[in-house]
Formats: sequence, C-alpha cells, structure tokens
Amino acid sequence: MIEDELRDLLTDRAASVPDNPTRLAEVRSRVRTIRRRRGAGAAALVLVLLAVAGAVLTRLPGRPDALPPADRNVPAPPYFRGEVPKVPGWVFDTVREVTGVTEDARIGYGGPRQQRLLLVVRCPEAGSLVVRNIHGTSRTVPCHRRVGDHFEGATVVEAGEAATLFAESPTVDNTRYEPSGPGRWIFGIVAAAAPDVLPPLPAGSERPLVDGADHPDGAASVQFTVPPPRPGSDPGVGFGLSIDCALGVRLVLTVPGGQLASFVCDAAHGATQGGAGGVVTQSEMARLGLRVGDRVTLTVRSSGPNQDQWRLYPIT
Amino acid sequence: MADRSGFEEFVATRSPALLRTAYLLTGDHGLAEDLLQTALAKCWFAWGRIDGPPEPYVRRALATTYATWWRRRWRGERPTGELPDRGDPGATSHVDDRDALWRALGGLPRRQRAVVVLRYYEDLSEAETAAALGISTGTVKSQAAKALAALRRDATLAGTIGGES
Repeated sequence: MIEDELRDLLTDRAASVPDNPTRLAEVRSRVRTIRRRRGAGAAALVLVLLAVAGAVLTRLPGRPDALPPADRNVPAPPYFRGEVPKVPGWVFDTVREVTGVTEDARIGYGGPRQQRLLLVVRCPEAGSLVVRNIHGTSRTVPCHRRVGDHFEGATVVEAGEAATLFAESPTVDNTRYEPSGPGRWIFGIVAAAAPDVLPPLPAGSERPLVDGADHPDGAASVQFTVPPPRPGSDPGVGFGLSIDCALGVRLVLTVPGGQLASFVCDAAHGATQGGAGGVVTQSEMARLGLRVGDRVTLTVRSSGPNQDQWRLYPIT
Repeated sequence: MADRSGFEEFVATRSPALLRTAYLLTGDHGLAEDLLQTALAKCWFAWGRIDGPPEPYVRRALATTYATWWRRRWRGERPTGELPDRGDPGATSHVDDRDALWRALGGLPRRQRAVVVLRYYEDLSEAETAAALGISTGTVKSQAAKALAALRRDATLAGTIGGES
C-alpha cells in the first residue's frame, strides 16, 4: 500500500532533521523586523490616504472618472476544476471556502506582488463576493457567469495592489469575505506566472549576477564559480539557478561544455511567482565538465518580448 | 498588549516537532527552518488571541504559509522541465524506491503535498487536515486522492509501488 510506504518514508525522513538551538532568538529578530516594516507601512498608508484625499478634493466637478476598467484582461471562464482554481496561463496560489461573512487572517503578503493576480469565485447562485481588508480597501468579485450547475466570476488585481488588499494586521484578522448570498462559495487566487515588466530592484535586495537590462541586444556573458551543493540539498543536486523574468522572455544559458539550461518565462514552462528557476544535477555537471570551484564563463542569450527584462541571481 | 508568556516555552518544547513537519513540506532543511520561523513570527502577533492549545493554530499557520508562500529563493528548489533532473537511467538505477518516492513527493503541488504530510505523517483526520489548511473535507479527500494517484503514476515509481499504473 502506498499509504504505508508514505508513512514509513515520512517518519524516516523527519527523524533526520537536526534542530536549531538559536531559533527563538531568530524568531525574536523576525518579529522586530516585521514591527519595523509595519510601522513604515502605516506611515506610507497615511501618505497615500492624504494624496488620495487631495486628489479627490482638487478634482474638477463633472470631470469623468479616469480610472481604467477594473476587469480588463480577465480571461473567460471556467476558473475552477472541481473546487480548485485552474486558469490556463495562471498559477495556483490559494483557495478557501466562504460560507456567510467570513473573517480570515491567513492571506497576508509582506511585500508588493510584482505580477497580476486573478481573484476567482465559484458560487451557488449569481451574485458577487466583496473581499475587504480591515484598512478599508476592498474588491468586488462578480460571480454571474453560469458554468454547469453553478456560477463563476473573476477580477484582476494589478501588480502591487495585492499588498494593500491583503495587508496583514498585527492584532486582528486582516481580510473579510462578504458573499452576496447564502450557501457555499469558493474563493481563490491565481497569479500571473511573471510580471509584464520587471519592477526596479528594491533597495537593499540581493544584486543579480547579470541583469538583462545591461544587455538589450540579448547576449550577455558573465563568470561564476561553480558552488558546492547547499547543506541539506536533495541527493544528486549540484546547484540552483534563480531568475527573475518578464512574461514571455526566453533564455538559453550555456557554458563552454554545452547548454546548461533554457527557460521560457510563462506558466506553460514552469515559471511561477515572478520568475523561473531550476537545479542542475551533479550528473549534468559531470556531463558539462563542471567541477566545484571551477571559474566558468556563462553565456545568456535572451529573446522574445522585452528580451532585456530578466535577471540571473548569484549561483548557489 | 497581548499575553505572550507561553510563547517562548512553546518554541522551546514544540518547535522541533514542527520543524520536522516543515521539512517534510519543503524537502529542504534550510527552507524548513525559514518556514517555521516565519510561521512562528506570525503566531507571535496572534498569541494572546489563541483559544485553547496553541499547537493546532501554529500548525495551521505553518501549513497555510507553506501553501501560499511567495519567496524568490523557493524557485531554486523547483526543477524545470528543461533540466535533466532525473538524469539517465544508468545514473539513477542505484536510487532505491524510497528516494524515488521522496522525489515524486517533491513534485506534487504544494497543497497536495501538505495534505499528504498532514494525513500520513501528522496522522490528522480529514477534518483536522481541512481545518489546518482552511479547506473543506471534500477538498482534502480529493487532494489526497489526486496526490496518491500522482505518486502511483510517477514514472520513477513504475513497478515499485502497487496500485494504478
């Protein structure tokens, strides 16, 4: 029975995990960091609210609202396979059940999402679901497209908006779901596999090993040192590659011994959460003549729309 | 100010067990520690509001954080379709069935892997698993069934695990 095999495997693997005696101190440090960020976030929110208030007060009477349509780029239904969000070209992120007004602390994003999100709803009767943050931001997800015996709907949240819509609160549940009717609703989030254009690197973030913006002609070369396997890596894993890329960018990475990897930055080719990545196995390293500690020239060729919109991070 | 007097004792006594669960979810020691600390830091802010024993709450935070986590460095752990992660048959012939099952487990979608870990390692019931992940028991059943079917179907397991082919 595979269930028995799984139980044995999981028990054995779990027994191999070493503990960390400094965990409590490290958790305290994280708590301090979160508090600092939240303080900065609250100040930024006040500034944003002041700016919005100023814009409202200074808007000329009768001027048409300049906001873009909220639901542009929404794909056609269906948005679910069974009760799991499933939208071609989008990547599953989360799902939860909503029955009546529901409060929830579990959706929280510490930083801005760089790619668009699609909020999807499955409902027993036509209506809408309001997703409301305790700070006052909200989104209404329509649910009036009939799919079989139920209704579905979706709305796009543009890059960066999710951090406000799902901002965490230190003291109370951060998100409230308000369905327009009774019964069992399913709310889900799927994300674009990558951003349309890469955002600027945040201050203090890890610097890329090579940045496509410096090579708009689609060809870049850089030297790197083949690293040893990371402690705790799965057996056979050599090193990892981590890439930020805009939607549709294609990359081919080569070393003198041959092609190291290739990526297409879309959901169909495994890109998720704003980029792509992978591992190079030790057997693949051997095939390419790569040894730990070697200094190697890596060539990156890019193509596709926005072919300069990629970053390769230090190889570890 | 919320009462967080029991938090440190909880971390000292229960976090090693939670780390093991985190490791089974992530498949990587470093990521497991990162995941656990992220979940514990979240729970610190809610500590005074937790009714009853805190472990189910923390486990729930761990599981849902894992299911929805967005971190660039996680991508480094995900093999792509373009990379020959499994190597040639000769190179993998020495790998035993458990390694194959472990790798197949790593290929499951996060939510399915979470369901498998909670059901078959933590020995939670379907209802407890549903509560931990914030999903319905029906979803737990379907996700578990899909996970087991995927593990049986996985090419690396052909001929080693009973069930569907």
